[in-house]
Amino acid sequence: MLPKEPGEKEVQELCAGHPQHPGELLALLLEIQEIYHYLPPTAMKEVARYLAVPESQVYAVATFYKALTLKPQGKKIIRICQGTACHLRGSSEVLETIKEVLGIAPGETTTDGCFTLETVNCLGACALAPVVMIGDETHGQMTPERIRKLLQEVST
Amino acid sequence: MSTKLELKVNDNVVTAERGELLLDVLRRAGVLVPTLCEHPGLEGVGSCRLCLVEVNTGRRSQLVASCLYPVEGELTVLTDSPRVNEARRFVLTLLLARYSDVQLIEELARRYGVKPVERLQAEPADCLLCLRCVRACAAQGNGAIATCLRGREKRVSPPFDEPPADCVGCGACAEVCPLGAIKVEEGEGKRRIWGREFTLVHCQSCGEPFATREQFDYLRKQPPDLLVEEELCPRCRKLDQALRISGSTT
Repeated sequence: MLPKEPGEKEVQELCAGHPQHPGELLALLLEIQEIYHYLPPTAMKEVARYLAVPESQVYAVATFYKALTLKPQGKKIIRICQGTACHLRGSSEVLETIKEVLGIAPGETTTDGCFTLETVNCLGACALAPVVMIGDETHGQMTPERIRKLLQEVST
Repeated sequence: MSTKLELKVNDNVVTAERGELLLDVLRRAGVLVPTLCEHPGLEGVGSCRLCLVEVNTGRRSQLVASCLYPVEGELTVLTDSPRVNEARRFVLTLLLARYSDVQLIEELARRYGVKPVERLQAEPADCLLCLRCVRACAAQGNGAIATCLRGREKRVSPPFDEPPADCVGCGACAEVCPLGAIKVEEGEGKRRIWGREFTLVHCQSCGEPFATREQFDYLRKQPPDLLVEEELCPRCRKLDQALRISGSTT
């Protein structure tokens, strides 16, 4: 199931935890992102109303930062590194395997709402190349076989 | 401490108030400084970089955007030096690559002898991102539009890319756009802008449409209650007042 759209009341409760100051905008959006894995338009409108900030300003901030997304994300985000070291050690084949197993391309979310696939340029762990992150966990020295097994483990 | 300052501008002496923006000082002195993002009614952002001039505070010389530079002390200003011209021509070269069919940019390029550069192949665009529209909307108190995304994808848009709820259809954004990139359509008593439709209010005297119903609704909500007269357009209202004054004295 995709993360559900928050009700008006839930967002109001979230807002109430922050002072009614325009400077709270990013903090509030990050909190909503953390809980719902994306920013639903209804929530952004509620934030604008609460902070007395124009909706255009909320949309500007929401689209500016990479950490915020307007598209619903899966429960777990799979980040596969496409940096130089990972590329040389065969991250392309690992990526192809993930695409084949989950049936999604980078930037997409599985229909069951479990996984979102993202490619990144470096995860800062080149010694472990090729590197894949599933949620908060880092997995190094990936091969098509190992990622296939890993995906099976985290799916169950 | 005196608030009057003396600046040396291209070998001439010019007086300025402390804190005054350099561009205003130069304009008053009759010095030609090209600008695109600057608008006299709006706060500067310094995004077009055309108003660059060279200032020397005595310690060092640097290029500054004159539209954002407050004069705080004695200065030597050069508006036509080799360094200024090089920087300005560079900016114009880039602008010309992207807005090659925009008359305003072509004219500026011609004035500074800038020619298209073959290897610079930019996607044509109709928006400069000078933010005049965004600033005008914010100045009116609506803030219905802003920039979204970043970098190459950055553009001006209403929130959520939907017809903007906060827009009152005043058309200030289109009015201040230097390239005329914001489309406004009027017909059958309606004004269409940003994908939304507004009802035009006609002057009861001359019959010309001069505002939108939504503009009046917005004004009425402003504290303290503004006296909002809908019946007459600004011109007819002035005429009406003039007639009343002359009528009362005779």
